[in-house]
Amino acid sequence: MTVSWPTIEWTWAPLVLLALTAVGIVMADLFMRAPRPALWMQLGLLGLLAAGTAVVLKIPDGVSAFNQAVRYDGLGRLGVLVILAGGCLIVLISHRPVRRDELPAAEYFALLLLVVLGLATLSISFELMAIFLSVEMVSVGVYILAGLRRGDTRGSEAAMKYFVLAAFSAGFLVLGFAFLYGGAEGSTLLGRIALAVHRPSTPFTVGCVLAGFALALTGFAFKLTLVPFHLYAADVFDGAPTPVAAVLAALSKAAGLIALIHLLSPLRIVSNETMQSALTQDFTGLLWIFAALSIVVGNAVALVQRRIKRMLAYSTIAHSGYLLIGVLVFLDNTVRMAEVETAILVYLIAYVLMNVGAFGVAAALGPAGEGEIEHYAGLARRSPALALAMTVALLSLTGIPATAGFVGKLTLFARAVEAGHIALVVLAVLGSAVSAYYYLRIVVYMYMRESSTETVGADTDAAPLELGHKIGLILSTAATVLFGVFPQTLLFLLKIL
Amino acid sequence: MVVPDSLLLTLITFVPIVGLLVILCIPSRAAAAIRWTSAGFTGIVFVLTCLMLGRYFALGGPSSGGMFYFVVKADWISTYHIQYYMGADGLSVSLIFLTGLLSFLACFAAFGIQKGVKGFHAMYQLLVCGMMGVFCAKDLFLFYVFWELMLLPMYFLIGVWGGPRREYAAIKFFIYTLVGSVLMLLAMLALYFQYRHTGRPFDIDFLIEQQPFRTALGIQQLLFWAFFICFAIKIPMFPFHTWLPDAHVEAPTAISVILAGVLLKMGGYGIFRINLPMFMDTTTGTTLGVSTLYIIAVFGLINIIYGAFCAMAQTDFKKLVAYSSVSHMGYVLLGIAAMNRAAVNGAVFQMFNHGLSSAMLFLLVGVIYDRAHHREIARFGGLGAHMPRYFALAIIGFFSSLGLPGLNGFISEVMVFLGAFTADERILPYARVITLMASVGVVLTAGYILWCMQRVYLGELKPEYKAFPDANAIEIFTLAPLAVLCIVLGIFPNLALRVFDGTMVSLIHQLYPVASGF
Repeated sequence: MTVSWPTIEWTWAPLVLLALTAVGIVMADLFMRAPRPALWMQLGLLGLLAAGTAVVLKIPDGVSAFNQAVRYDGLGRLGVLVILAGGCLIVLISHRPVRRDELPAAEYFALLLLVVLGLATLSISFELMAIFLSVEMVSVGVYILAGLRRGDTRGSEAAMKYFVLAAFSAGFLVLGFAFLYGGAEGSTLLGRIALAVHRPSTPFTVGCVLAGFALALTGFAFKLTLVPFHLYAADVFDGAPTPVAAVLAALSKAAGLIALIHLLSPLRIVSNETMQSALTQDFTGLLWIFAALSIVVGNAVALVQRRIKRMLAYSTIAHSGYLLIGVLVFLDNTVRMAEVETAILVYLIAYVLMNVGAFGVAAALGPAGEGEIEHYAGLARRSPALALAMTVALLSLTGIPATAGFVGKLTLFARAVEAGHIALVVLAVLGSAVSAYYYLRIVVYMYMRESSTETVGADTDAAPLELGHKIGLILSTAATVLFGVFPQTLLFLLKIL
Repeated sequence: MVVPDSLLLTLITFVPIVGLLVILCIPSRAAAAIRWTSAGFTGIVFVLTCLMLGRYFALGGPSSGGMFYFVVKADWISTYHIQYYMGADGLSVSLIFLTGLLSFLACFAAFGIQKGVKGFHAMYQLLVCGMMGVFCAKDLFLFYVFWELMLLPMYFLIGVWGGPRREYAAIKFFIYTLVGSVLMLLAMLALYFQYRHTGRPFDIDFLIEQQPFRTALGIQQLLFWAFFICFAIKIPMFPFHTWLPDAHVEAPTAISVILAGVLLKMGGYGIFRINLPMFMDTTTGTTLGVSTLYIIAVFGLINIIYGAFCAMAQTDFKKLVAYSSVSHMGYVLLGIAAMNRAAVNGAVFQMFNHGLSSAMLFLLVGVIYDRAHHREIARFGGLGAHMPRYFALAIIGFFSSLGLPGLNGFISEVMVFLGAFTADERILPYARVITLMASVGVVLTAGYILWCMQRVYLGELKPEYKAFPDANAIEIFTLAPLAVLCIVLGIFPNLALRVFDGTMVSLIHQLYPVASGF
């Protein structure tokens, strides 16, 4: 008698693994008498690692599934890995805040996994409904996570603000998708939309496509906190638990950017004669304005922030502007696709690492370290290791050589210069020079000011840092330096994975 | 010798990193051990630089006409054609030697620092590595990395161990330099895309051969000025000089010595290494219709005169010395602009001499500050007779800075003036007028230095300074070698001139065929 084993659909496997882990954690929690944050953390980590292993070993480049709705293209597949790796780091730096704020651990880690799942799906979606559902999955998860600290007014404000604005931007997104659906004459696949862009049949479809892209772009501008749709970012980051803010700052940007690139991929110029190129030029102009505004406003407003997470929020707005330059380069056909994708991935990896580092230190320091920048005075004396990790992250955010942030900026801006976006690159590097002021101000506090009695007292968490938290910080810091000094290793990793 | 030539520059650059690691392993409470380890490693570096100087002579460097020695070349980031490529010609050799000497001596000047000794010396070693790397690098990207690498320890050294306004000074220094390096980075990107297909886009030799954007002079001029402003900030050239008084005054003595003695030279070095040979058409041509060298000369002139007037107006001893650096570096710019053998040699010699004399001046100020805990010139008086050994060294330092005949400063200033006065009018219009105006600077320099010496060292000794001891052994040890060099090089300037003359002559020979074209 032969047993026919069911064949495993590997393209689903990572997503299913994440979902099962999340559900498993919540179910298992029902049978526990006492809260077991460490156990849920380890389970979550296991799920993420398993999903990552499945992607690396079993899913080759370019595989598609669900009737073309999902495709592991070069950018998306590596993007999933970046998000899973970032997810691991954020799970690691979550243990302490969960324990300290007495958050419901099982729910927290399950929701975190579901958010990561949503982000992973978002970066491989090639179909409008899939994109929308992934976005919603992330939004709902983050909405709950942001407000998980019950009774905390900032947290409630953050949750409420995020909820209203996510709903609002989802409106834009879904309306835009509806127009695109019309423009593509009844298909939600990005491939079919590309056809409609290249060979529009009637003026009506042209109008539909134009309106569709414009509205969808607005929706994504909310997600990527592009100026002028950035206003919620500072409040949400400040109010949400710090690891959740890190998810929003690092992972959600990464996935959102990849999805935006996929969505706009029909606009990538193939020849200069079709009407598509005129359409692309319109959007290039629009993206240019978004990028320039985000860089200028993000950097300028970050200069005057007094709370660390608000400062980091504006810094991510500026970084969104830099990343948008990558999208602009992508739309231009002067640079080879693979090179643009590498540049964007290198930047995203650096970006995730340094943000996890910065938020991770803030999370380790407790409520005071998540608040006013003044609290960082004299940190180098009180805990030299945390001060060092923070310094590396901040230097990397500034883009100082020998850090991953520098390599990311260099590769991305180099491609942008190649594509001829000189003015924007000049703006971006000047923005980086300005950003040195607000990033280094924290270094000034940590190393050059003495701690006052109140700041010392505010380090309420006298307990030694959890092992997981330490590992998370060491990994992100070491990788930031390693990829900065030997960028070749990063390029090698991108090649073999 | 035992050290292979190709390893020499690598050792000079990275021995401080070994020092850094060793220092990190010593427990913080063993402050004395940390100090001596730091001094030991800078000592090793200094010995290595002496060795290099010796090898340079032994290999016939002075008569080779600007060849590069001790060359080492390997792939670093092959995807972007970035190499680990180092080498030294006469210009580099002289500045590497200066850096080795000053970092060794300044390390002793830092012995008085009590707070965070471990951190200080760890940062100090990193700083030495960055400075050496800048002078050794022959790959543009490598140059940039070392340029930035040096920025960080400097920021911390000023910011943590500096004076009352240290935070402001540190961040100002950082942002000024960062803006400059950002400009350099943009220019490097432009070069990269122009020459990526050749596989050597950052190779300085190759870029000099290619003369980037010869057919698109507008772009070449942009690149020239992007690099130039980056270097001008370091020199510092008016109007980019305002970081200097803050940084110099707030920095601890040892770091002021390094700032004035080495960091300012990097600006001049960059102009010689990159601007002049790589963009010859712009160097000898025009920018926006004005002769490029003329623009540089005018800014040099402003530096000389304006710096001197500022120095004269200072009431703070250290600030006076800081502004004297602005004035003295103006001679370097003037020498570059005149672009003939005497002037260019004078400019390099002036960099070297200023490295010696300004280091001395900062050390001298440090000695007094350690005792008096203030630096107000008006509150001093009569210290000369009271501290005779110290005064003897002070006289040499100040007179070298003033340009007294018989001391080194005189030779380089005269060479710059002679060169500038006889400069080719086709290359530098109004050369004579500019030189005559600049010579007013000599009088002003004499004015502020003599007036300062008079107020600090001469006159009646104030009672509160009666208890001051004379210079101690360490202070004499740091000052005396510099004083000896000031005298020796004043009498036998050829000792130094021989080192870089060949390099400078070959640079001018490269530039002149271009220059005679119009």
